[in-house]
Amino acid sequence: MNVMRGSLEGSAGLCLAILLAVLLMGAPPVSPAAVQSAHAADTPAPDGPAGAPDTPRADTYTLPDIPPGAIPGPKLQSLLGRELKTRDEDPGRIIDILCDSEGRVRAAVVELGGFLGIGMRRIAVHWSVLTFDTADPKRPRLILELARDDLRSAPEYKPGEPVEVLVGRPD
Amino acid sequence: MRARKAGTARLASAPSARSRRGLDWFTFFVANLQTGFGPFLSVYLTTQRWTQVDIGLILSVGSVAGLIGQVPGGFLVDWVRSKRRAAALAVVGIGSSALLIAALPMFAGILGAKLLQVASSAVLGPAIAAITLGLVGHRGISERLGRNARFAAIGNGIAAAVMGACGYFVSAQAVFWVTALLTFPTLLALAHISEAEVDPIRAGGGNARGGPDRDGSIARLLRKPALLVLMGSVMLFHVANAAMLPLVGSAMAMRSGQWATALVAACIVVPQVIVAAISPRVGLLAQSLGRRPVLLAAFAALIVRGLLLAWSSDPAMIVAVQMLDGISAAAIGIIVPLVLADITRGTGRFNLAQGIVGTGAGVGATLSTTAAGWLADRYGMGTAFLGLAALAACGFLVVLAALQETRPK
Repeated sequence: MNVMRGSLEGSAGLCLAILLAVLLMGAPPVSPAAVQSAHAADTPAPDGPAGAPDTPRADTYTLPDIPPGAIPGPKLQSLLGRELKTRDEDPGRIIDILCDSEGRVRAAVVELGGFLGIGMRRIAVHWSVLTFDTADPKRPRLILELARDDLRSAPEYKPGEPVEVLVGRPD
Repeated sequence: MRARKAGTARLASAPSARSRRGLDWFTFFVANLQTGFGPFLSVYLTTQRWTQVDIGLILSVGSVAGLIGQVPGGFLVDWVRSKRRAAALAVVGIGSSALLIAALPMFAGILGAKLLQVASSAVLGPAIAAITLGLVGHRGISERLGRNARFAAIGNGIAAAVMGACGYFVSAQAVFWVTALLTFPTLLALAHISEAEVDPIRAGGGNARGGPDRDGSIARLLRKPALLVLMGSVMLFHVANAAMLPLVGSAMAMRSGQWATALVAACIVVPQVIVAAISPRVGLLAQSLGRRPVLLAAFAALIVRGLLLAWSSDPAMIVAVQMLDGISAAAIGIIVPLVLADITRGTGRFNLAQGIVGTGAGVGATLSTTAAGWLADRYGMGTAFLGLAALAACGFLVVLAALQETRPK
């Protein structure tokens, strides 16, 4: 425990020393106050543990307050193949998720209707018209907030072609 | 010598009632077995969280294997002595495939299951016709094929309704469990067909007196003009026909909100009702009028259906037009094996010929969905139906111009 803390402090001290060196040598127009504060931050580090963890480190990235490698799990759910109901309670299913060139999720491809695999429709719907209803946590429902007539006239989704995404109607 | 004479006498007479009923139920259950493996498989795989890419891959591999397998399947059925045993193995193969699909929906499992089903089907299709011909001989084949078509249609209709409901209300997986269970009644029905009554030589199209190899060279079979004309016209039939039901399905889905699912179901079941109703009559007509007029009627019904579907968009009208599908399905289903039995008579290559024509049908069906999909995307659904009707008209002309009547005098 002590060893670990020591090494942490050591590396923190090293960081600060490098920061200081950069500030002193690499940047000529440095105000005396800035140099001063860097010195002040540097001084307690070799002596004791007190100041080191609280020292702001502008050049390093710190993870948010979660254990590394794990994202809180129970709230996340799988979507591929997930059943949904339209506003008129017609059943459907999510078969793909579409994102833009920056990786933001934009739309879901849903498959609606059909009998024995014949007469199904595939439609791309905007992410915002999907409602996740968790009123009953054991059976979370996924609702597609679109009316039957809107879905009926929607253009068919075809992979490899420009996607027309169906968005809700203001009501 | 006496025993042999008795055997010949029994073969010459009509098969026993037990065998005939066995064949009725066998064709009925085989139709049941195949229902889940169609477009429904992709619905099931979607529920199992498969990506569209993987589903597409499985379906493509399946259809390519299906095309390649037809000729070896037919060859095998000619080659094996017991057509019944070949059919039984194929049924077990399809049942195991369903079991695998329900229990192990991983990529390797589904790929293996799909290949097993495709290979088994390539044997089972010709094997049913072979058993039929082996039981009743060339003299009774026309009537009996009509009866087979009736029982297959009843099986198809009931299976579509029951399995569709099962997939809708229970789960997609349940459809494959049910299919696996159906293996048992199918085998039971097959067991009712007496092995001794299925003459292996007659079942291959061989002449009981001449033996199977009298005229059996494959090269000679391939040079028969009637076989090539039949293959070409069957291919055109499927190019025009295969995409029609899927197109009807998407037309329904777009035009008729609340009742879309029920109407699509009606479009699937209605033709089967018609086939069940008219098939025995079609078998008799093929004998009295000849094969050619009945085959021409199949194409004519297909042309009219395409034109009516291009013209009308009323859901009730579309369901009514689907009755024409029943007419062409009954006619083509009876006439194709019948003409093949006619032209392979004495060759012992009846089932190989079925495999050859089956390959043509498969190629046609594959081209059909591609062509119709392209037409519908680019020019709209009406044009797609018109295009399919035009292809059916080409098939009509091919039969009219090039197919000789094959009915024996």
